[in-house]
Parts: sequence; structure tokens; C-alpha cells
Amino acid sequence: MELNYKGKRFAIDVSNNELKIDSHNHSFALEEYTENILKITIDGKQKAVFLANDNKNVYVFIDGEQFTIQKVDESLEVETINDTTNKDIEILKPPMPGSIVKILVETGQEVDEGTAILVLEAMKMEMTLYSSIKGIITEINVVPGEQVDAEKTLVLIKRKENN
Amino acid sequence: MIKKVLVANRSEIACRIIKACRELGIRSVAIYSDIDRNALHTLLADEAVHIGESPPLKSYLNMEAIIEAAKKTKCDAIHPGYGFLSERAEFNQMVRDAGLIFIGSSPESMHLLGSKVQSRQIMINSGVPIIPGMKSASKEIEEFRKVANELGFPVLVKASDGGGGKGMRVVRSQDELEDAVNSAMRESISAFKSDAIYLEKFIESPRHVEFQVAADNYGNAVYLFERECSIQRRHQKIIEETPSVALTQELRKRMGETAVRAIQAVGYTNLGTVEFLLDRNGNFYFLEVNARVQVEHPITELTTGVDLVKLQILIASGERLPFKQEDLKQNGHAIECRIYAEDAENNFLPSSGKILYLREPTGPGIRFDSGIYPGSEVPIFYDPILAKLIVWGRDREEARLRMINALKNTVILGTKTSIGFMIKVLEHPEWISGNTYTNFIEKHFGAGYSASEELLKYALAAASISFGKVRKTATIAKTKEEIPSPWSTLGNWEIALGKH
Repeated sequence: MELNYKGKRFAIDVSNNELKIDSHNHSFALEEYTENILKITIDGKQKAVFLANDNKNVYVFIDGEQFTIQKVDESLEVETINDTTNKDIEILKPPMPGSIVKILVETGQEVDEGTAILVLEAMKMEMTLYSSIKGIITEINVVPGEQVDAEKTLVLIKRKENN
Repeated sequence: MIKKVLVANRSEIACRIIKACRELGIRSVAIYSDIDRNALHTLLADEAVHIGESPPLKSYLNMEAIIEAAKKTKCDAIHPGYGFLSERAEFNQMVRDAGLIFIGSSPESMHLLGSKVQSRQIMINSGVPIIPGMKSASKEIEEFRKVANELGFPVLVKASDGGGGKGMRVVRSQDELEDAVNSAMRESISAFKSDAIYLEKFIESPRHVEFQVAADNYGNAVYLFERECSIQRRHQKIIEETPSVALTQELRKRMGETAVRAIQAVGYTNLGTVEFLLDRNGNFYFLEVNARVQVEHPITELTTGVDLVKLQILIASGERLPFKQEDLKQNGHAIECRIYAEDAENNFLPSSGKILYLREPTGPGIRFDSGIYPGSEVPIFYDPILAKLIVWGRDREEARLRMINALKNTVILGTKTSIGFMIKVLEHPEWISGNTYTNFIEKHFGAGYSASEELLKYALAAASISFGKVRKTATIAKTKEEIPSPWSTLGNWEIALGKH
């Protein structure tokens, strides 16, 4: 199974007494207490592991440290592989759910790398989203005051090449 | 005595106030916004009133609706908690005009404290030390030279109308001064359309030390000692402790008495906090008065044995302070860690979501003030505080070790939290040595923080087991592989061609 942790991919293979992470093999043992509590032994070291799964992320807590892990979904791969430096269209999404405070651009407007596009507010914090490319605003899908989730495409920017 | 309190707040502090009411035999009324319909405070109170839509302006900041709810449910008092309307003099006045008790100081004292210029002058007149500097803005470089020389370097050039660090320059010597003044002025003009700049003494890596004070309506006032709150990120405290390692008994007494003088100067009553900056030479400077219960009030409760929220309600009911200064003692050491829904690995960016799993820490000397339960939502609309973990120990080291252990046993899943980061702070040699200054996180964790590589192996194994269960397809695939192909079970054989 391929897993994603903070943008890094790991190939994981768990069998009865072996754990393979990428090309490294480790001895492995598992005891299941409940759906949320496991006892895992790797290379002879045992840890109590707490976990919860919302079908999108698995949240793991071990000794005070937290890990949020996703399964690599082949259908989303195109988007994640896209390198920001040479993509043709920038899809601006919020870094977290929030509400739109201000939109600073208009459709058809030319923007530079670093141009402020809109201001988002979440949890009493305002943040400005910027364009990472030089281009033209082709679509604005939100209005000020609108509540948006992290998946929402806010603005599309089409790359404009330097002549 | 107050009989019924409307709690004009949410999350952990609303729950804390409801508990105090219950112990005093007072009925409590919660208010809730759309998204907080099933929040913990809504469930905990004796009654709950829906107050409006989720955005704060339509709910927890909606003054008319809150007062209306208090009247409708026949409350005789409103407790504002912290944040939201707690320090809004206008709301305070409206509550009183409606014939209700506002659990807090008078609107007049809040007005005085709200104005920086006015409160600064009042403090000077009452002999409360403030950061020395120019009395007003200037454009004359000679004036800057003169004041800088009097104060001694380093000094801070500041935009009068500024904020957020804009138009601010630290100047370490005479020959840097002119450039700094000119560039601060340019920045101030472009950012705030104002050329008003001034200069004050720059306090190098100070500590944030605040004093809890309480005053009744009869002129009695005491201080309940200090809290050191130097561990901050984005200018917001995350770990607080008491006592502060930086205070001697003599300095503690002097600062405490100054704090009492500061609140008496503005006619302040009920519970309040006087904030100071403390430099490395034991000089302290008044910052501001927080006219409300503080987030970090529990560490004072654990070391003095005084229930501060009950005290607020008693004072507001017209009772006298139940103790004198000489009755108050500090016992042991207490630490608080604020557990926010935030991503310590990504600049402490707030996080939201749903609490999928919760295991609260327990044990001797451990207190968990919480606003969440398994299944509760962490909305995007409000301050992302989930809970506060507070521990008491006989001394600082016992409290520290107890806190680390308790953090490791505080399991919150479904949103990111700063638990792992706070463990790292408490394990840092400079924290252990008591070298806690307001730039601590910037200085020691400026390069960021990352969860341990070693534990990642366990996390990946656990995640793959968990995903393996929900994805039925994976199970089917495995089963298929395990069914042996008939071709491999037939043994050695040959296709008999032409043997007939």
C-alpha cells in the first residue's frame, strides 16, 4: 500500500511478522486492543498507538506525537505531481476551511508571481493567498463572505509566458 | 447573591464558568450559535439559548441578542468569560442598563484601560513604571538623538499609529539612528499614512510576567502572585507557569504591590490581571491590565487554592474579599499547556475538523479544562482552543515531568494539535534552566518543528492496517492471490499428443 505523509510517499507492506517500508525490512508484531488502540512492536520496540480514521486521513498519536497520513489515490495523482514551476493553470485552493474576506483581483486581470489574490479568514486569523505564477485570472468562483472548505477551487490563473 | 447566570461565551471557559455556578448552587444558561448546537458548553448548562448564526458577529458578539436571552431566561447576571465581549465597555454598560449584573469591573474603569495614552498617564501619576520613552511623536532628528542618549541604547523607533511590527526599528548605536528614523517614517507613511513616530527604550529579550489581582466593591484589593507567560507564538501565550523562576520574594512583593496600585488608580474592581515586561536586571514595566478572567487562571488556582471564577461571582454579588493579603500563600509549582487545534509543523496554522477520539489525562495533580468530547466539531469561526492541561507539582521539576507525561497521555485525534511541540519545549535544556524569554520559540524553534522520524514507522504501519480495513477491495485482492491456480495443483503432466 502506498501512503502519503506530508507530501512524501512511502510503500508499506505489512505481513504477519514483517513490516516493509520502501526497501527496509523490520520485524513486526501487532496486538489489537480496540479499533482505536493498537500495540505495535517494531524491531523489538513496543509502542501503544492510538488511531482514528475518517476515510480520508488516518490520525495517529504515539507518545504525544501526531501523524496525519493519507492513502495515495491514483486518481488524484495528476494534481499532486504537477510542479508549481511549470504548470499552465494555477488552481487556488484555501489552505484550510474559512470564509472569504476580500477578493483583490478581477476576471481578466493580469497578475504577477506574488500578486495578492484574495484574503481568507479562519479561526480569527486572516491570511492572504498569492499567485505563484505570472498569468491572467480566468475564473473567480467565490464571493466575499462565502464559507469555503479546503477542497474548493477559489480562483483559476492561466499562465502567461514572458515574451 | 446572584441566582442565575448567563454565560456569554463558548468552549472550555464557558464550561469552566458553568461548573463554578453549579458549585455555588447558581443556575446557568449557555448561549450557542448554529454550529455550536451540540457543543460541550451547550450540553453542560442548565439551559441553553440559540443566539444566532455561526459567525461571531451574529452570535457571541451580538450584544442585543445576548441581553435579550438573559432577560428571557430570567438571569440576574452575565459572565462574559475571556475574549468576545469581555472587555467591551459598551456591552458592560448595556448589561447594567438592562438591570443585570455584569460579572467584572465597571465600564468606566474599562474605558480608562482601553485607551493606551490615558492609561499610560494614569500609571505614571500613580508611580507605576512604564517603558521609558518620548511623551509624544516627533519629526526632529535632534530630539531623537537627545532622548536616545538619555535612555541609552538599544532603543526602539516606533510608528505611533503602527502595529504588527511595521514601522518598527531596533537601534543599537548612535550612528544607526538617523537612517532608522527616516526609514521608519517612510514605512509608517506608506502603511499607516502617518509620519508620527516616537522612540522608547528597547527591552532586550524580556520575560512576560503578570500579576493576578482581585478587588471588592469596598476598597479591599489583593494580589494572588504572578504567572510567567513568556512562551509565546504569534504573540500568543501557549505555556504558562507559576511561580516565575525570575522573581525573588522582594521583587515579587514589589511587583504585586505595584499591580494593586495600578488597578486602584483606575478604580478597578473584581478579578483582573496586570501585565509587566521584566528585563534581565529585575526592572519591570507596566504593559496593560486585562479586565477579565485569563485563559491561564488555573495555575494560580492550583498554587493558591483560590477558585478565581467563584471569586468573580462572589465579588459581583457584593461580597467582601474573603481573605487579606497576608492570608495568601504560593504552594508548589503549576504549569499550563494550552491545547490548540493548530499545526505546529506548519507555522501554527489553525486546524479544524471533528474530534474522532479523545482520551483525557488523569492522575494526581492533573487538571484538564476542556471544551470538547468525542464527536464534537472544531469550528472554523472561533479561537481554536480545545482544552487546557494544567498540572501541579511540589516543585518546578516535578511539575515539568508530570506535564510531559500527561501530554503524552492526552490523545486527541481528528485535528492537529500542538501537544508534540509543547513536549519538545518542556524538554528543552533552556526551559529546564528557566531561561524563558518571550523570544524563546523564535530562538530555539525558529527552524521549525517536526514529529519524530523514529515514530513515523509505527504511524505508517498503523495507517496501513487501518486503511486496509476500510478498503474492502484490498481484502478481495488478497483472497484472490491466496486461491491457488488449478494449473499449479495438478502436478507434473504432459499434454499427450499423438500417442494414440
